[in-house]
Amino acid sequence: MGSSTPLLAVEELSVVFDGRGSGEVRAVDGVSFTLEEGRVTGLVGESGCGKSVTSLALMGLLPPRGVRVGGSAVLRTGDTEADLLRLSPKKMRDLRGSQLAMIFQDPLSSLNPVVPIGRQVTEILTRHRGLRGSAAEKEAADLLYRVGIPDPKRRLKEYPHQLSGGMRQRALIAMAVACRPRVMIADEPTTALDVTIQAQILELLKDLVTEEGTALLMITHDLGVVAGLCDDINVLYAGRAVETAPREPLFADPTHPYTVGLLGSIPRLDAPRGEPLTPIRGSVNDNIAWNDGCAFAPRCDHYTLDCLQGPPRLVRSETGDAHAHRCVNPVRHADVVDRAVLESPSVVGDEEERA
Amino acid sequence: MSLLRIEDLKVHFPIRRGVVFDRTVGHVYAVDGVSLSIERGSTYGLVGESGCGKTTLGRAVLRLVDITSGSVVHDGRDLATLGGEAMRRERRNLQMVFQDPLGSLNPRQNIGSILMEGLETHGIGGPSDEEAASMGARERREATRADRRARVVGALERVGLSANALDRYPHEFSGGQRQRIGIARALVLEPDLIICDEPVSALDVSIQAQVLNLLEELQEELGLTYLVIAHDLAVVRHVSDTVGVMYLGALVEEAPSDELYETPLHPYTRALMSAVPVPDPTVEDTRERILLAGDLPSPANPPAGCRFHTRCPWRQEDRCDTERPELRPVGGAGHRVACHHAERILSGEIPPSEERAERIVHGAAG
Repeated sequence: MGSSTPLLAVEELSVVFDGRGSGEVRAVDGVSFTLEEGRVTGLVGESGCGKSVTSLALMGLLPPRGVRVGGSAVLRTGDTEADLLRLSPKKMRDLRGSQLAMIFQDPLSSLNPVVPIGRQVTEILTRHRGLRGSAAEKEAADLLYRVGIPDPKRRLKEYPHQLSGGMRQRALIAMAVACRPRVMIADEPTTALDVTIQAQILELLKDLVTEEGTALLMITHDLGVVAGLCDDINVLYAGRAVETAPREPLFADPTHPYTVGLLGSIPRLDAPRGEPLTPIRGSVNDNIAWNDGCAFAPRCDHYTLDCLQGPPRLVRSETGDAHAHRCVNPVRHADVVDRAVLESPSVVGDEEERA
Repeated sequence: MSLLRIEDLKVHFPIRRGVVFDRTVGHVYAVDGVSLSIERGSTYGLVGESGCGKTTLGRAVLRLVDITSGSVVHDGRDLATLGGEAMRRERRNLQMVFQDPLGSLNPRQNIGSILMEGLETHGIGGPSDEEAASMGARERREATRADRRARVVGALERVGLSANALDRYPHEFSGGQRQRIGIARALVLEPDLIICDEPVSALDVSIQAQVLNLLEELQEELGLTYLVIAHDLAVVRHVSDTVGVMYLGALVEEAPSDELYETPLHPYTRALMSAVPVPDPTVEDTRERILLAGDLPSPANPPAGCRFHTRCPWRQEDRCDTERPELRPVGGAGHRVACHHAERILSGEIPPSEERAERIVHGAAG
């Protein structure tokens, strides 16, 4: 278990984009979580749930105009505390790369195509660790070697297009770990990669967390990746966390209908064949505003009129202390047997006929 | 008799150099000797990583790329030898659903016109000959238009959309709905075979399941035959009766879906399977994991012998790097594998070498 004082405590983070003439968009709407040393925290959700905007807000990478960021994100380094959302751009630049690092989804577009890999890696060493010349180059080669790039001396001279997708992502990870950051944010780091390469990269991230004690925030849409890597998981929907739990209870007793629906939507390699999938109906666009009720209600099979009585609160679930859901009609574990029946409209139809 | 039989199909793309003299300096061996057959009413799943040639294979069946050699026999006719016009007529029976639903729909055509186009091209719909004989030209046109419209609406309703969609444009729909339109476009021609090239990889998880269920329902109702091409082994296994695993332009293993999952024989299949994440922490923590070292070799310069020998943890000193293994039946019914040492690997006689794999995590018992 991690230490009691978290490295990064995010409280009620909200990000609002001013729409030009079309009203504001609340991309992130009160998300709270903590990152602890040597632990992986996951943010899971589908497109548009605000997971990437959360990471950009923490890194201070949102555009300066037209965005309002609320809440707090307190980073503890040694004895000092700093709220990442209120730091000056200059202070933020000092933190980024040294204390905070980020790995992006698409390694080709986040590397500079006209600068050799070596210069891109040494740049960060020069900026934050004051290494220059051959010392920087040697350190860069060491870094590439550590993330599993064979023949690093040659690779340093090459350009991003000469590397394969997996190799580029490794180079990006090498840059992220160059200054041994305390907090690392990985935004869909394996989505653009093939599964065998994905497995390599996930192992690498796992090693970094256990060996260096880095706190990792893993942002992904893939519940399979989450199951293998994350210790604590937040499931986001329409800008709010709908369920937060350590990974075992989340997968064993999911309580929010959205989490249950997501798990039922994934074809599993180890499930017996012919078992039908139980998708969530509708799409992420069929939302209502959180202020009017549960945003998931229009797609939910558990929904009742209670769901529309204002925003549901995050309540502790029956299964454990750290397990909470934002739902007034949660899926109880006893119902799980009926789950397949409830979720699938066609089967519900059969039941009505039989009754 | 099988609906589609592919025999020793090869698609090689020339690599050209030079401005004045257009020299061919080599070939990309995208598909290099694939044989498979698909039974009527079944689903054949083709799985592999990017660059393995699975998409090229699908496109070659429809002759969207030039076939270098080999044959594609559909209903007794060899598509590889058909002329342009004959092939165009044949495509009525062979339709494709593409990966990117927005990119494959013309943004300036409304849905009605997109779906109607195929019917017009192939002259489908309209009054029967006897009825037409008693009609005037104008009346006949009206009857044809009404019939085609009914077919288009029927196809849209089958995929869960309504006639309201006819006058709308692709950008007005969500990703999942666009993919449904892509499926309706294929359905409206009432084809025998639908080739689905990564039908769900651009969609969100909850929408993926909707589309996969839709494909299954359509198959039950209409008796369709699918060739599903995808990189996601879990998706392919879920929808397919038979699964073929491709690596660098060739099939390395082919088996009934359940058989493949229970006893994967080829080292590449085992590695691929162990890499697919399973949304269950207990499974994730205990299962065997084979992490392959390195990347896919270039298909322009494939390794000699077994294509996988450069990354194979089970590689042996003899034969692997000199002799290319053929697909041969091993074990249960319909299970074919292209590996010289499949039996000895299965029995555990040859242990995986820890040096060649990046890492092998042995599954804990239970």
